[in-house]
Formats: sequence, structure tokens, C-alpha cells
Amino acid sequence: MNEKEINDGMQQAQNIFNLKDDFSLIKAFNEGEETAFNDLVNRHKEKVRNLIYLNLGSTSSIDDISQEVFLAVYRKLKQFRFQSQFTTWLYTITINKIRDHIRKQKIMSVFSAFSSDDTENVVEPGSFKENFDVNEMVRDAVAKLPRKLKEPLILRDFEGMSYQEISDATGIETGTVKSRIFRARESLKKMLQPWREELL
Amino acid sequence: MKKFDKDFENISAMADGELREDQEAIYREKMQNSPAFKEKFNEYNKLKKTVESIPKLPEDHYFVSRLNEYIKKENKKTSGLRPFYKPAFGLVALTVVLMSFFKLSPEFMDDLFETQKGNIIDFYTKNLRPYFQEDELTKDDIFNFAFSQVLPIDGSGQNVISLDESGSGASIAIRQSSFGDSIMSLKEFTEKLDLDKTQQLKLNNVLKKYEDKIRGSILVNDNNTVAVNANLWNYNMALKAEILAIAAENETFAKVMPAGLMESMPAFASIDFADNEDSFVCINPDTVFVTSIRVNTHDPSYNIPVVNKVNILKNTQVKLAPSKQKYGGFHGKLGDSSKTKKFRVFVDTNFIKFDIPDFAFETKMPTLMELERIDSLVELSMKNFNFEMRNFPDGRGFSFDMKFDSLGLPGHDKMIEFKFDTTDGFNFDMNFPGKDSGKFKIVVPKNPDVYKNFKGLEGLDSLMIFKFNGKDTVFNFNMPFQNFDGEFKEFNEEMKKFREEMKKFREDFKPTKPKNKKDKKPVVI
Repeated sequence: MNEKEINDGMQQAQNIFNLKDDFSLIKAFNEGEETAFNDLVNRHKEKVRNLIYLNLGSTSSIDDISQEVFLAVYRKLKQFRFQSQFTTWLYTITINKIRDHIRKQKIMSVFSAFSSDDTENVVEPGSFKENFDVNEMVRDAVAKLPRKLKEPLILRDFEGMSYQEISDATGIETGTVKSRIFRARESLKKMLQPWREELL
Repeated sequence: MKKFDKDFENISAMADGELREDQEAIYREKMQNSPAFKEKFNEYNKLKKTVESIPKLPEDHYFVSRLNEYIKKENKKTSGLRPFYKPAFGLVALTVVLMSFFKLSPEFMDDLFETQKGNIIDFYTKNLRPYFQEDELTKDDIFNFAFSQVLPIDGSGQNVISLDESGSGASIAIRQSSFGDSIMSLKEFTEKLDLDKTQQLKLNNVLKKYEDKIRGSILVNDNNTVAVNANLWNYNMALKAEILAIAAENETFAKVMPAGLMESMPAFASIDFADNEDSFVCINPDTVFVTSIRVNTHDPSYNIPVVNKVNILKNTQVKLAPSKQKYGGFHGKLGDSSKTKKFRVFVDTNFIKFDIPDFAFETKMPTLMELERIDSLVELSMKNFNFEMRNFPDGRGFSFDMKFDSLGLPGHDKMIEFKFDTTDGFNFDMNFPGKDSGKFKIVVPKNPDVYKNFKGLEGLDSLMIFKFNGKDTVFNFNMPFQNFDGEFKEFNEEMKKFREEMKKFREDFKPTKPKNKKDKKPVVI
């Protein structure tokens, strides 16, 4: 780590310590302070990466998609209107990028015999070994959920977003969010039924 | 089941803390009364915790560094433009560049179009060669063309190229022959002028010279294009002038030649057509245009006959005909200001007539005005018209002599013969003699009573019938014959009118008999 990186790191830590909120960082960036963007990224990058990971159930595309997400943020930040939480806006972009990726994967699968993402992450209950990793199994089970159910469930249980925020981020009604989360849980419960005792 | 689903959905929402307080109170009460509801609530809470407990990915400490590099790279690649805008930006940029280019080079498109036109013109004018093969045009054809301005373009003589004058100026027509096309005889001209051998040789050389020019003026090719040199009119005038220059060597003829014309005769022979000899009006079934064509007369293919050349003309007429009147364009060299000019073309199924465009007809004819006087030459001569009326001694009849000055032709003292036959009305025959015809003669009717019905010569012109009769031209007049006395003054006036009619014969000395009598029909004058 060179001196510049150390200094940058210290500056980031100080910003976080100073509890600069997202809006302040965005304003600072829009006023020309490039490091404010790095602070924003540092603050939210892991949430974005995990959100992508849980939605795709694969680590292969996390880096590419998360970079696309923050590149979009970088380019659109001047258009941010401060009318919603930055995280809501950020997750909206993330969800859209994930959807774009899945769409591209579907198109790619037309031209290839195998779809790596699909084949690598298929979860078959009977295929687990006795010394299975529970966490990994749950993650795989979540990944197996239909996209429409998976997105609100992850945003709720993993990111801790309210139904309204999920509605804003995904563009669906709160009533629908509520219904989909319920259906996602019911589906997940069925998928994890063989290990009910261990998990539930 | 649906009711349970709705309840469980609300319990799920309650686990998320998303139920309204009143609803939550209801479900808490239900859970107390229903173990199933309670179990569901616990189940959802466990599921929540299970999902929440999914371990997060290890933190990526270099993500920001990579992201910054990625952003720099993307910014450099797109120059700040989203990929979505790339095509639009490309189009806008291209438009701006093209607009700027055309602004700075306004002639570029014109040049481009002209180049394309040039390619098309090259196609249409490729391998043009004379319509008339060598020896296909006879000396008679050339001589006749000089004075009648008609050139037969097929063996039967049914179709001709003729020089015409329209309201807008000179024009050239490709059409069917008509009765009005007079035919001049080289043989008669030579005989009447009594040309000696040197003069005949000179005349032959002139005819040969213009035969070549005329051959080179009417071109055709296998791409159905007929090209006519706009100079054809000039050639005609110059040819006529040069022939008359030879005629002027005849002393008697020279007497009646306008002095100015005599002086300018040498100029005709020295007219330089070279400057504008390459302006051709090109006609084909697709279009009519004027362009510059340089024909290499030394090319071996120059004299190769074009098959079905008459049909080419016919097809062109038929295909162009629907437009009836159109405008030909001028396709000159780049930068030529005349390239935007147009000229009128009239087309029907049996003729094409086009005005000679001024811009293609610029050869200076220094003696043009004098040349026009040639046309009046015959008229001048015809004014030397002697008319002497003599009454018969008993006052019951008359006779007169009419003498035409024959333009200095040998034997000009010969009279044109008139014949009266009053046995049934007033019949007046005028006989233009052939070379050996005799003198004027009047036949006096034996019964003078017929003059009583003579009412004068009113309407003489309209009653006059013109027809060709044998070798000689005969005018027949038929009219009632009453009150003959005192009508001679009017007769005199009518004779003046008659002299005007005689101007019709000014077409060079004398109308000759047609080659084919069947082709000629009476023409009402």
C-alpha cells in the first residue's frame, strides 16, 4: 500500500467517522470532490456485491455487475434528486443491472449448449452430503427462487429494507411486495423442508 | 385456503413489522387462540433469521481502486457518452461533417451528378458512327438538301430529316416526307446554268465536301441513339452559298445577284465550323440531350453500318411520343454555365422536332444576312414581270403577253404560256414551259358572246387549282364569264396577286417536276 492509498484510506475512515451521510457525500461529489464518490462506494459496495451474489447465486459476475452499478451511479449522480434514500436509488440500479445480466445470460444460453450459472448452482435436496454447509445450502435455495420472489425477499431479509423502499427500488406495489415476500418464504420453506430440523 | 393464505401473508408481514397496529393487534389475538398461527409466525421469524444469517461475501478491499480504473477506462472509451447515444451522436456528427463539407464544397454534389451524367452520356454516345454509309448520299441528295432543306433517311424516301423554322428559331425535324418537300435537280441546274467542266468539277467538290460534313452530322449507334449535329443548319446555308457562288460565275445569273452577296461569296467557303462542330443533339428512347461529341473518323469502326438504323428512329419516336412535348437538357463540360439550359423537343409517333438550342448553335456565320438575300433573289427576278394587255380590234376580246425574267437562265427569253379557252366560261390555262417549250400564246374564242357573263376575276385565287400535269405545271382557272368590259383594272390587280403567288417558285429558279408523280397530289393554294 503506498502513501497515497494510506492517506486515502484514512480520509475515508475519517469521513465515515464523521458520519457524513449519503446526501452530503453526493453533494460534495457534485461540487467536484471526487473522493466523496469513493466514500459512497466504500459505504455501499458490500451491500451491492452481496445483493448481486444472492440474486445470482454465483460469484463469477459479481465484480463486473457491481462495477457497472457504480459506473452508472458515477455518471448519474448529478441527476440524483434527493427525493429518496440513496440506497433505494442504488438498489434500483443494482436490481436493473442484475436483470440486464440475467437477460444477457438467457440470450447467451440460446447460443451455447450449457449455461454455466444455471448448471453450477442447481440445488437438489437429495444431493447434499451429510456434512453440508447450512449457510451455503440456504444461499443456494434463495438463489433458486424465482426472480420476482427472490428480489423482495433479499431486499427485505438481507438488506433490511422496508416494504415501501422495496416498492421504490423494484417498481412494484407494496401490496405486491408483501405478497411476494410471503410466497418467497413459503417456497423457501418447502425447499428446505428435508432439513427442517436443522434449520427451522 | 385463500383465507389462510391471506392470514399467513399478514403474519409474514407482521414478522417484518409491516402490519398496521390495528391489524397487528388482531393477529396477536388470533395467535393466542390458534397454535397454527403462532407456529407460522415463529416459522417466518426463523426463516428471516436464516436468510439474515447467510454469511456475507468477504470484503473486497480493492474494489474502489479497480472501480476507479474501470471508470477511467470507460470514460476514455465513450468520451463521456453513454453507449445508448453513440449511434445518435454518430449520425449527428456525420450530418455536421457532411453539412460542413457541402458548405465548403458546394459544387461537390453537382460535380458528382455531372460525373454520373457523364457516365450515362458515355453509354448513350458510345461508338456513334454515321447514319449514312459512304456513297449512300448521292450528289442529287446533297444538292437537293441545299435548296429544299430535306434529306431522305431511308431508301424509299418516306422519311426525311428536314430543317425547319419555328417561332423560336431554327429547328430540325425527323419526319415523314410530305408533298411540300420540293425536289431540286442537279442535272437541270447544271444544264440551265450551262456549267462548263471546270465549274462542274468545282460543284462536285463542294457537294463532296458537304457530303462528308452531313455524314458526320447525323450519327447513330447500337445503343439506339441518333445524334444530329446542331451545325446542320449552318452546313446547309454554307452549302447553298457555295453552290450559288459557282452559279454566279454565269454572267447572266450574276446580273441578278445582289451585289453584297457576290462580294461575300468567298466568305462562305472559308467558314470555320470547327469551334462548334461537336455539339450534337442526341435522341434515344429514354431522353433527349445536347452534348459534345468528338467522333474519331479514323477509327476502323467509324464506317461499320448500324443494323436497323431506320427502326432505331422509329422506335425512338414511338417511345418518346407519350410526352409529346418535352425539354432536352444540355450536358456540357463541368463548369459550363450553359449546362442548365434546356431546349424544346416535340415528339409524336411519326416525327421528332427539336429547336436548335442557341447555346449549341454558336458558329458565327459572317454573311448570314447576305445569305438571306439569296432567298429573295428569285423573288427579285420574278418582279421583272412584263404584262401587256392588248384588246382585239373589235373590242370583244383581249390578249396579253406575260414574260418572266428567268433569273439569267439560258433561254430566259422563253415565255411562260397562258391559254384561254372561253368556249365554256372563262378558262385560263397557264403553262410553264419545259426547256424546249415555245412562246406565250392566247387562244381567242370565236364566239365573243361568252364574254357577256364575265364577272371579273374576283376570287381568282381561291378558285385557282394547282396541279401537276405531265412535264409541265399547269394552273387551271374556272370561273363564270360575264360583264367582261371594264374589268381589266381589277384583272391587273389580280395579276399582281398572281405575281405574289409566283413567289412560291422562288425556290431557286424553277420548280421541277416530282420524281414520282403518284406521290404528288393537288395542293390548294
